[in-house]
Amino acid sequence: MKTNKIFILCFICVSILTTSCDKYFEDANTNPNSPNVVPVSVLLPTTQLALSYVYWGDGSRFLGLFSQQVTGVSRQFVAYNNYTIVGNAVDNMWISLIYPKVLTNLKELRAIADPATEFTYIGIADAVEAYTLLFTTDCFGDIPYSEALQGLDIPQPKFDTQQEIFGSINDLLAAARTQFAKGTSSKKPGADDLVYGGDIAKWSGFVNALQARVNLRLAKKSGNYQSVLDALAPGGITEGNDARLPYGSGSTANGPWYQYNEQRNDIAIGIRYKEILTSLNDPRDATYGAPLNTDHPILTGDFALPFLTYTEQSFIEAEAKFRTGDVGGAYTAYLEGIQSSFGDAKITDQALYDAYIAQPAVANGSANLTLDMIMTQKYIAMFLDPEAFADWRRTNIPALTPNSGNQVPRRLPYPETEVLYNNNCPTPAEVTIYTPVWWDN
Amino acid sequence: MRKFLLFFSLLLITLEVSAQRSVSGTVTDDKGQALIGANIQVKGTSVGTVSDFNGNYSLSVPSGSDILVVSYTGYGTQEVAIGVSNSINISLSEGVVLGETVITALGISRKDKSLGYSVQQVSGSSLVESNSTSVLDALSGKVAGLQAIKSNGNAGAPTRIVLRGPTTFNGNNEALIVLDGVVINNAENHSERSLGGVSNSNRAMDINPNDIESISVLKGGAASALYGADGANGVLVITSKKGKNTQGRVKMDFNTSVSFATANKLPELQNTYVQGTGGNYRAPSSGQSGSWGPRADTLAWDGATNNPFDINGNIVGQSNPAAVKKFTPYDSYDVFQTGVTYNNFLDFYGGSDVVNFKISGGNTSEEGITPLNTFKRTNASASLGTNLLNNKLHMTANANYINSGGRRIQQGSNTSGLMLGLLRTPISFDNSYGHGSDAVNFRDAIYQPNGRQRNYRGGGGYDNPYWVIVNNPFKDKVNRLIGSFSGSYDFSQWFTLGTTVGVDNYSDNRVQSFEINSRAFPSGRIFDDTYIYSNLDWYVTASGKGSLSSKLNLDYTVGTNLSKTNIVNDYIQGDGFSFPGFPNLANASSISTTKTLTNGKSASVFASASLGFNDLLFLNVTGRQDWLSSLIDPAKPLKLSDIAVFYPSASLGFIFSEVLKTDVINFGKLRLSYAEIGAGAPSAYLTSTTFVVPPTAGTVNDLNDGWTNGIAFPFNGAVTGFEKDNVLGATKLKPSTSKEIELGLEMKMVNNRIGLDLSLYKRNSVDQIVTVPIAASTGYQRATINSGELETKGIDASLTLTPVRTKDLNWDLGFNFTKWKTNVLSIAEGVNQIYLDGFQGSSIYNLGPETDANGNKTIYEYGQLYGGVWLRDGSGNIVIDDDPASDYYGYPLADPLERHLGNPNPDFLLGINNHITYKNFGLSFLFDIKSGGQMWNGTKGALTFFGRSKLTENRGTEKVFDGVNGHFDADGNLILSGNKNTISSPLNQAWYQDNGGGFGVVAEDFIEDASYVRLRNVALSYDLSGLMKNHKTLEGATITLSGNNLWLSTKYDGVDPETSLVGSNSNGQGLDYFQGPNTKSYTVSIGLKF
Repeated sequence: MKTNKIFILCFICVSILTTSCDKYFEDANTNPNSPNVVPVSVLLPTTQLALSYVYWGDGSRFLGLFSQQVTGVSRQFVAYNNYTIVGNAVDNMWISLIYPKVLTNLKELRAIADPATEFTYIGIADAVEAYTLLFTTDCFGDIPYSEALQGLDIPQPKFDTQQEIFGSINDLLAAARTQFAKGTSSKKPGADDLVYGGDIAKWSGFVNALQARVNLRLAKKSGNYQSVLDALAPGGITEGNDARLPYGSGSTANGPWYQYNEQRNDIAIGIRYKEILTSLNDPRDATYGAPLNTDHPILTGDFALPFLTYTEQSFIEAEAKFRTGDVGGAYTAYLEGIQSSFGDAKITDQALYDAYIAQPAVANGSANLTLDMIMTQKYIAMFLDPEAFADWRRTNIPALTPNSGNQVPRRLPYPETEVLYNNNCPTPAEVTIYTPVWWDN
Repeated sequence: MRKFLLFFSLLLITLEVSAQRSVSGTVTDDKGQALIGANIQVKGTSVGTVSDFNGNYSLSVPSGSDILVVSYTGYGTQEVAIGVSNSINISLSEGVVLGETVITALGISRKDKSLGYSVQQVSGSSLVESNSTSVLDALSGKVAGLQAIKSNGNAGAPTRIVLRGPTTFNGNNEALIVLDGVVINNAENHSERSLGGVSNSNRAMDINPNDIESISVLKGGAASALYGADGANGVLVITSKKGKNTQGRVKMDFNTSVSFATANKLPELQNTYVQGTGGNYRAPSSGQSGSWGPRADTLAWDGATNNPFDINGNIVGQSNPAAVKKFTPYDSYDVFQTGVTYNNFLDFYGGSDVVNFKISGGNTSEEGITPLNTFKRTNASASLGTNLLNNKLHMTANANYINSGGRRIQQGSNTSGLMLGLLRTPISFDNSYGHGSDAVNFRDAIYQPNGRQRNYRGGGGYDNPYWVIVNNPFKDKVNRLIGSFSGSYDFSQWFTLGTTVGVDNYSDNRVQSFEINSRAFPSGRIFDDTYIYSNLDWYVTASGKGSLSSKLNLDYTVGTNLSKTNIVNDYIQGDGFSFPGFPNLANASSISTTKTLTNGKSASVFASASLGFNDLLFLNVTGRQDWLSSLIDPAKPLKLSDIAVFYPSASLGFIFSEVLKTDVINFGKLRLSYAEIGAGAPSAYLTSTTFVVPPTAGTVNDLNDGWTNGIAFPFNGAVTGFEKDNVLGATKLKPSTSKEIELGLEMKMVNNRIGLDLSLYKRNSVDQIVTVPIAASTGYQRATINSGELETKGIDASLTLTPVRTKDLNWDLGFNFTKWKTNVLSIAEGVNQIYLDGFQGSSIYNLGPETDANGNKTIYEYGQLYGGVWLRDGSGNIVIDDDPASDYYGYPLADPLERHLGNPNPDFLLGINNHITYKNFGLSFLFDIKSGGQMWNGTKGALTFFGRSKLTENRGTEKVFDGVNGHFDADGNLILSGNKNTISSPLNQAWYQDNGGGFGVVAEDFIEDASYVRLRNVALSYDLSGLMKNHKTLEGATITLSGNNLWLSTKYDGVDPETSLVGSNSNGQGLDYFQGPNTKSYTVSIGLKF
């Protein structure tokens, strides 16, 4: 009996102790300086900015060197210009921006978003992720995705083949369409969507245009250019509704090209790019061909750098129609592209445009339209856009003479840290910058 | 004052209540010679006294007490029954010291002989004797196994304390400090980066050495195992002075001292060449940084009175017709003054067997050797003890209030740092503009008439030292309360129940301003930074002891502990003052603030049992279970088992002298112990991966591409952005554990005149907490994991000798020997280095093991110097360039890779303490030896670039560099000729401003041996008690003349090699870059007892 009482007493004591211990330690290691959960509205702008910053930062610079829209003139960029470019040069793209900054936060955004009230956010996240994957796989080829972003649960994610990545891109675009088809969710993005302010009609157009860009890439392998036109059929980006991210006027809100010109300035406009502008007496030389510095007429601090434009879409349409035999449609889209590009280049004088297209080398009726003309005009229009390098890889237009050696690189090297810390990453011995990616093969 | 007296009289009335009788007598040794200072205690009470110079004592014995305990160091303790006679003479024989008790972990008092591990006690009086403001600095040379590094000689400078070597890669490696049972904070709070800024105090500075009764140094794992997660770095258990049973009399101690300090060692500079370049003089207005001008003995002044840079006019050649006065070099060191420190301390104490008290007040006011550098500390402390209910209920309350702080001077790698501008100043420029050290009072010393700063580079470059002193002040103010309240009740000998509550709270506010035109922040800056620290510790313990059988004794303690720490850091920064003269946040054009909270909690249960067998064999077993809040993963439901860590220890003491029973060995003990113990709870919040606002630039989370400063949020001032932290939190974090095995030998021989305490130990600190880079495809850049191991092997030895012991003359000699080697056995997969502190090209790193092409493995010690070295051939010869077309023809070539540069860890430390008493004279002196250990003399390196170091005096000579010839071919391959170099190369400005100086890529030439031998302290005292024997109130008086650092011998070519750029808390020790010099000082002190 006595033993029992003691036993019960002990039991009570232990219970009190345990429950009070739980109370004592409640929230004791919850970080009071930074939150464990945030609303989706504060993640979306970070992902959009990081994506724009890597696309228009190292993406634009490195791929611009390869497409010869720019040339390296000082410090590290002299070596890069000669294709001496190794893994550590692209570490920042991969480790500072693409994976932890864009993809991780898109994943978190989807995990946090309420599918009932925030599905528009999910749709935008899908679209942004599709764009990110296309850019990343264009740069690097096979990349980790299906096993990626799991922290130390999968410390060395496998590399999905580029073909698999394109499958994932298509899935994401389809998922985005599904979300946008539902209309706008009750909690809708506003100023936190830096691109379209939560306008799902514009996002739908963007998704279709992006699908066209994707299909155009794949057509190099499949020859299926009709798929490009099919993608645009439901309606793409409409004129004046480019997918762009407007930067700001403060020094830490300026766009990446402006900051680069201001803080480094190791890059000049490419000789080849300039040469093409000059040979066509192109009025865009005054803006696109201006010296790359903080006085550049286009690359101002607050310039809205594009993700996908009506101009690009016009050239995509022109090329697909041209390749599918619709020369008349191609010619119309081609001229639309040039005119839109003049607008992008801030040339408002109609006379300049008229004079420009009066040159036979630019426009001489649909019958004389060539792929070379379309791709050359697209090359001019896609000023500093990494897309110009993808186009060159697809079409070999314009003709480029290697800056060094006898070939132009066809991709970026894998980042040094990924080679170091992920055994699944191809080594520099296995994949060089001259190894074409899957769709380029 | 009246209230004060009233309080005392009330106290005295209470004290006089119990009935007493007076007992007196003489204590002698077995030869009949008087023993001075023998302890006479009434058993079971706190009533006691000490014998006087003639061995006499007298004591009031409370009624009911019947035994006196008489003890004297080196003699056997005796218990004497108090009979009917009031006169008791006691004779002690030299012999086994069995009765000494020491304070062990958690303040548990234990018999020294029963311990199976090493504990060393330092008395408060020997700390006071050190004349150091800092109690940590005062421990230098006094404890085997302890390394103290004072960062510099500035007023309020911190001291780093490491016991038995480091236990963590880059966490806290300093000893835990416990004051009267309360863990007290010893952080060196930083407002600026460690490489530049001011030298902050570490918070142990708040303790007044005068308030300390003793420090028990728990060095090894078994000794400190009861501190669980916090004990692996060893513990300084400080016991403050308490009230005593004085039979109702109020006693008073008064100590006062004044010290005069000067710089003890300054870098040697060349005094031959003036400002300029290529041998040509350049005036300050040129902005020229170097002293590569002409020889001073070819120059003259023209006597012009309108030169704002030089009161003697413009510098011209001696043959110049304008020359009116031969040029003589200025001395930049005239900025230093004689620093003065005043120290006053007063305490009152007294008591009966029922109640006792102590009240003390202390004030230290230190004026540094740099003008306007101050440190002030005021301590007020009170202690009240009561023994009630038949001496069964004991209660103690201790409270310490500290107000400390000072005015500090910018130093280090910092264009607004004192030594940086001072040492670079050419001999042709007078920073003081003729005012000497008084220049702090003259505006024309630091301002040009046009309002720009007056310095040797025409207003650019580096701040004039006087500008630094006057215009860039850092003022800190600490208010701190440390208190402990404890009570216990003795139910029986077997069961005492007790509880202690301890608090340590402080606010540490620091305000730094940089006036407009300061070089570090030309548009001005101010910051107001406050740390608010609070810690609450609560113990409940049950303890008891007794005999289990005639031969078996048990001594046990069980208990629990709850501990809670909160730190708030509020930082406000204002930039861009609108106008000069008003360094205030209100004058700033932009203001930014951050607030950081750090909270931690722990709960613990612990138990300790000590079994003694026949005074021959002692076994002590302890266990502590800690539950630590920093292990909680907030994303998971809390399971106590997930955050629990268990720390066991066992130790064995074998008194072999009991078996040997020889006359030579009075006492001999072998010790063996093993413990597993933590090197501190992990930092808070490592277990979660939170969302953060991408910061502007410079950290892992910023939104940029490495070329630019990138994007800050809120974006464009409007759009808020967060991101997942790029550092992945630890998913299953555990604290790093140290496993330590210790073997010890203690002997007392030849009538206790030789004493030896030797410990050998090996400690493996596993599961280090490291943040490692991971593949970014995981979604994160880095992750915090447990990985890596440090292994320490070491020896502590203390040897005490009494070469002379006569009636009049006594000489005690003590050696404290410290040696350890901590190796980095592993770090983490894919991680070879952990940065601790320093500069690109000359840093302190933990380097993982390396295996060379031949399979030879190199294991590095903790905290190695790493950076630029000379290129060497396969046999270790330096390669000297033999390509005539090369810029480096005839000069050594730099290795393109950074490599191991040096080892800052000493081979051993040795303190030699001497105490000689002759009649009423006392002489003590402490030699302190550090053998080995290198230091990066970055100061000398930089001064070589500037043509200011003594080394550059050889400019214009030639040198055949020692090495073999070789060069790089066009493809970058090294072509070795194999020939010994014979090419002679000029030592000139070009070479010293390239790799021959400290701004080249090679740091190797500035790695120097920082060994030293110093006379750390010497003190001559005279006891005046004899002269005032008949004085009624004055019981004792001592006058002491002492000196610190009066002699220093070192090969180190800079300031005193006991120095650290980065302060006390940083693990990057071994860096010297323009920090303040150390000091030597003379002190007069007077101690009175009433």
